[in-house]
Amino acid sequence: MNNSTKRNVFAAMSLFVGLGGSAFAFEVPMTSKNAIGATDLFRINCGAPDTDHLNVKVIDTTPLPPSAIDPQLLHVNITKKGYQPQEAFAIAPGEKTELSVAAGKGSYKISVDTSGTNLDILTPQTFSVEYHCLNDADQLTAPAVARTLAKKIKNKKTSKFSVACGKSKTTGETTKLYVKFTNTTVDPAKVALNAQVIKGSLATNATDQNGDDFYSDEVNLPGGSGDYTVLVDNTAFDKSQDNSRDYSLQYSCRNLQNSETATETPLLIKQFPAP
Amino acid sequence: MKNVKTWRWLFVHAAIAYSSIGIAHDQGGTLNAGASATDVYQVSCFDDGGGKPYQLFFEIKSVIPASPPVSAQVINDDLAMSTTDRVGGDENYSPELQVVKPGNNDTYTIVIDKSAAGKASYSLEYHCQDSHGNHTGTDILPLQNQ
Repeated sequence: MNNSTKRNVFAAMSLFVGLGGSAFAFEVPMTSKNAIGATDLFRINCGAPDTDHLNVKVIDTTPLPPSAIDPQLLHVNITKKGYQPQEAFAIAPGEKTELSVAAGKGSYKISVDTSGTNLDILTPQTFSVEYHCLNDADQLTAPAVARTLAKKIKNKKTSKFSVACGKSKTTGETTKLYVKFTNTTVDPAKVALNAQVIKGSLATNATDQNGDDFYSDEVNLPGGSGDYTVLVDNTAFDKSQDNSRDYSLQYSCRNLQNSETATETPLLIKQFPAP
Repeated sequence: MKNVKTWRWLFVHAAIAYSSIGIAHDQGGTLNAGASATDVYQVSCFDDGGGKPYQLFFEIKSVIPASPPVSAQVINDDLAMSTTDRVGGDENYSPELQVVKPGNNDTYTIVIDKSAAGKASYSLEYHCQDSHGNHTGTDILPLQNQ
């Protein structure tokens, strides 16, 4: 995409947002350069004085190259005595799934295994479990913050653990457990797409693995109003590969209530390395 | 004689320590298990008598086996580049890169992150260099530790 095309894209986005008001987040389609260290730089102005944070997510839309070997797949099962279990099958590396079990407070059992998939893969797989104990209004109960567990699992093994939900003084009784399960196994040869949001001395990072239709997790940088820098880069390592990435970046300035505030088009875009 | 040996030992080790501080510029750190965990540093480049700063050299190494790939980005105004060590626990660093921005007393922001959930530890190597690749004055200030 040359500079003239970029300007047209952003002019079109400005018009779209101008017509659509603040209900829409911005979306930037882009292709990064084919080089080790290639980085796209955006600067986004959140002009509204009530801005609390910039919300960003990214998706790698590059066509997937053919794989030489099938990946190991994970299976997750959540149970609580007296309630219907919740399960998700065949979660591939980089994929995520969300599960919810409405079984009140107490101890929930989570088990993860690799059985029934590619038993030729002998390397340990990794996964993360982010869990929230919630009330009927989807407010966090006890624990009062979302928790993340990062674990490994060997082939043909089952990883079992439990999480406990309680009662909060402010938000009341737990009615359900929400779990976001991610197969975080990374194929070292695979190129992932990263996006960093930076303002002053604060920064955060979002990652999207190639090969699915899901965006990365949303990340929020609480930098208030003003200019944010957003970088999009990848984990390329092999000069002989085509390391350019097709991606789409979605972002919006938001207030404390997470409603969108005035979001400007990027003030500046540069791609590195320069020609 | 014992005193002479003691002083000699102290002098040699002080010299090694000084040269390590002045030239090696390795910054170790750990990222917590959250997928968005990010560390931030500010590096200042200045002329310490060895030459005028011209560029910042950087590379990173992930030090825990089977941990997520660790990346470093360097930003200076409208310049930015990124490098990734994809295999944790081996001896190899990521591809080495240089961000070129001539100027004395200039500052660069370095952002460290990873490509998945899971704890990761890293060793960041960085040097301010003159136009011939010689080491110039380099200072680092941690800004965020996650």
